[in-house]
Amino acid sequence: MTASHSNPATDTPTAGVARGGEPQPPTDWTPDLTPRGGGGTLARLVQFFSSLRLTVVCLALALVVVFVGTLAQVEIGLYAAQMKYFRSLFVYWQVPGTPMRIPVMPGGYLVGGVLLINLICAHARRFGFRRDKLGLLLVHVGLILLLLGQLATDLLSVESAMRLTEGQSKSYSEDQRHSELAILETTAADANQVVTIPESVLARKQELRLPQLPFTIKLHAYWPNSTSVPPAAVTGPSLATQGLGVRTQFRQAPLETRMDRRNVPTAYVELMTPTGSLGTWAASLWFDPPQPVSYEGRTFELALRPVRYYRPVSLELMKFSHDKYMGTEIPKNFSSRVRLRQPETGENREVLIYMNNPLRYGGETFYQSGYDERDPRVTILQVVRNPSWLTPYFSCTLVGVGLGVQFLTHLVGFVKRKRA
Amino acid sequence: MLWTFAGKSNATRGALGALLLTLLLTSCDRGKIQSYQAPKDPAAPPAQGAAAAGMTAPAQIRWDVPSGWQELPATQMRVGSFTVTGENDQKAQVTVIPLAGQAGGDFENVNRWRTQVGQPRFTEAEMEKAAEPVETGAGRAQMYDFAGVPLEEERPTRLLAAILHREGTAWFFKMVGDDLLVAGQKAAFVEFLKSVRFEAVASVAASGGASPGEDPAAAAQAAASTAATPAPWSVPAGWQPTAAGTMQAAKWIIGGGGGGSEQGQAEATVVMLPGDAGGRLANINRWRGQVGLGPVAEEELGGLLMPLRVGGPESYAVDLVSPETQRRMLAAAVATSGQTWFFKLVGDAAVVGREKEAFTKLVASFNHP
Repeated sequence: MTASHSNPATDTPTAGVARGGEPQPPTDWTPDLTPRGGGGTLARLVQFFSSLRLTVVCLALALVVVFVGTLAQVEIGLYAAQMKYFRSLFVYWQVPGTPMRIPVMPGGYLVGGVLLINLICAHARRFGFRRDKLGLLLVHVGLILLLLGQLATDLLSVESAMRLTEGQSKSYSEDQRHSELAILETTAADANQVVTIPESVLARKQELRLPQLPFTIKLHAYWPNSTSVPPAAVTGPSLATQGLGVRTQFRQAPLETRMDRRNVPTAYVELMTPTGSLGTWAASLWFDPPQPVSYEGRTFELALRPVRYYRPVSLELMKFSHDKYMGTEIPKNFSSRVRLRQPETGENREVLIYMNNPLRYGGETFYQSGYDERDPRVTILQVVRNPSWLTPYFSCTLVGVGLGVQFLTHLVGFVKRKRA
Repeated sequence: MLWTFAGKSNATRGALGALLLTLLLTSCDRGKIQSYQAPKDPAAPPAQGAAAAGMTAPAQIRWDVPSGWQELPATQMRVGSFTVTGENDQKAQVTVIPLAGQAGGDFENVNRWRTQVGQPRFTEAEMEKAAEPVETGAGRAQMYDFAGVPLEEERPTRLLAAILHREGTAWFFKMVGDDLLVAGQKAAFVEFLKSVRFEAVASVAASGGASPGEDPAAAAQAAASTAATPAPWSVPAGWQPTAAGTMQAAKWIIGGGGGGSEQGQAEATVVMLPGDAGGRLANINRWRGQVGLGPVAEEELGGLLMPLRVGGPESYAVDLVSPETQRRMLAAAVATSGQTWFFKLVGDAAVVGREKEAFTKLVASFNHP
C-alpha cells in the first residue's frame, strides 16, 4: 500500500502520455472531480477519502497510536492498553476529579477504518481493474483483507479457559475477563434451565422482567470490581438482606489493569414478586457456590460467575502430566490426556494435548495453557474461537503473489522493450 | 483495457461500502440476556488432601505452638494470635488470618507488607525470587522475609509472612516485630508453618458438610476458634446430643412426643462466630426468615429484643414465632470478648414453648471462657 502510493512517479504517468500504445487515464493523485458533473459535496468527500495526504496522515497517526499505546502497556497493562488505544474510535483523557472525558487522539479503529476506506477509494479511482495493474490490485486486496481480518478477529474471536481436575468432565469453558449473573432452576435430573444476564446489562442497573423467571430483578448496585470489607471496618448493615452477603460486605474497588489479575464484580440484586420483595442478595464472584432462592415451591440458584461458553462436546481429563527438570521447579513439559465425547455423533476418543500440539475441534482450538501450583491434578486449557484465523494467511499470500506479478509484469515489459 | 471501472461512482460505492461494513462490524453486540438449558455442573473431585485422607467433611485448622509463644484470644479477623517477648523488651506478634478468595492477590499483599517495613514495592519477578516455599501440613505456602525501618519509627522491624491458599481461602500467617527477635524466631515460625494442618472433626464428619449458605472463610474461622474451646454449659435433661454441623459447637434434638415426626420436634444449637457475626439486624432478620416471618427495620428491633443477663452489653435475645408456619425460635446472642455465642432453639412452636425454660437454663449456665 505504502509502496504503491508513495511512488507516483512510477505508477502515475503524466495524463495523456501513451504507454505500450494504449491511452492512459489521467491519474493525478488529487484530481478535481467537480467538473465531471453533479454531486459536488460527494465528489469532494470521495476526493478527500482517496487522497494520498490522508494516507500519509493515517500512517503517521497509526505510528503515534502504536507508539503511545505500547508505552501505555507499562502502566495499564496489555489488555487495557489494547482496549483504550487500539480497539477504540478515540482515545479519551478523563479530566481529573470529573467524569468528563475528552477525545485527545484517534483510536486504532478510526485510523484503521479511515485507512481502509482510503485504500479502497484510492485504488478504485486511480488504478481500476487494469491488466497491467493486476499485481497492485492483488497487493491492495491482500492489505484490505488483512485489515478486515484483524477487525473481524477483534470483534468475533472469543478466548476462554477450561479448568479440569483429573476425573472431571466439562462441556463449557469460562471467560477470564467477563462475568454474568446466572439464575438457575433445576428442570431435570441432570439439567438446569439457565438465564444469564451479561455485565453490560447489569451495569445499566435497570429492573429486569424476564418471561423465564417468576420474579423481577432489581439491581441496586453493580461494581465491576470489588473487595470484601474486613469485619472490623464494617460501618453499617449490608445492602444484602439474604444469602451470603448478609455477613460478608463488599465495597467497590478500582478496575484491574494487569493481565494476570481479573476484576471481581459484585452486584446487589433484589428479587421482587407481585406479593413483595424476596430480599436482596449480594451476587459476587467472591462467592463460589450459587445461593439458593426459594419461591412458590420452586428453587432457584443465584450466582455471579465467569461467562460460560457451552459446546456440544465434553472433555474429561484423564491424566495431567507435569514434568519438571530434576531438582528444580522449572517446567519441562506438561500435557493433558483427555477423553473427547460428542453425544450427537457418538464420537468418543482420547486426545493428548500438550505444548504446541493443541486440539482443534468444531472451529475451536484447545491449547495446553497452564496448571495449578496448588493441585498437581489440575490442568488449564485455553480455548480460542477465531472464525477469521485464516485471513492473515490469505492476505500474506495475496500480497506475495501481487508483488511477484507486479515485478514480473515490469520485468517482461522491460525485456520486451530491450529486445525491440 | 480490461476491467476498468475507475471513476467517481465506483469510488463512491467503494467508500460507502467500506463505511457500511465498518459500522456493521463495529455495531455487533454480544451483551444479551440469554436463556438456555445446560447440564448440571459436574461435582469437582475432592481436594487432594481430603481425598488422600478419605474425608468428606470440612476440616479444622490445627497447629503446634512453638515454645515461648504466648497465645492470645482470637479476635474478629484473627483465628490465631500469639505474642513473643525477647530480651530488652523486644516484642513480636504472630497472627493467623483467613480470607475468602484471593484476598486482594498475593502481589498486593506482599507489597503492602514491604511498605509496612519501609521497603519499596516489588515487581512480580522480584516477589517470585523472594518467596521461600514452606511445605505445611496443608500444602505449600510461600513465605517472605522483609526487614527495614518503617516510617515514623526508629527501630528496625522484621516481618515474616506466609500465604497458604487452600480450597478458596487464603490463609495469612504473619510475624512482625523487632528485627533481631523476629530473625531469631524465624526457625520457630517455619516450624509453626510446617505444623499447620487441617483435621476432620469427629462431630462434623457425620453432618455431611457445609450448608450452602455458609462462606468458607467464616466457617474456617468458626471451626478454628471452636476447636480450642470446651463446651462450658449444662445440657438440659432429655435433650439428645447429635452430630453438630460445620459451624456448630453443639447440637441437640428435642422430641415432641409426636412419634418422632419433624413436626413435633425442635433442635437446639450453639454456634460461635468471631465479632458480631454480621450484626443484630441482619441476624434477627435471617432468623425471622427461618421461621417464616418477614424482615424488620432497625427501628423496629427495640420491640423484639429481650434482656439477657449473660455476656457483655451487646448480648441480646429474641423470641420469634410465626402463626402461619407454627414455627418458633428462641435465640440468644451472648457477646464475649471478640466473639459471639449463638444459642438457638427452633422448631415446632409447641415443643419450643415447652422447652423454653430448659433453654433459658442452658443459656444461663453458660460460663464463657
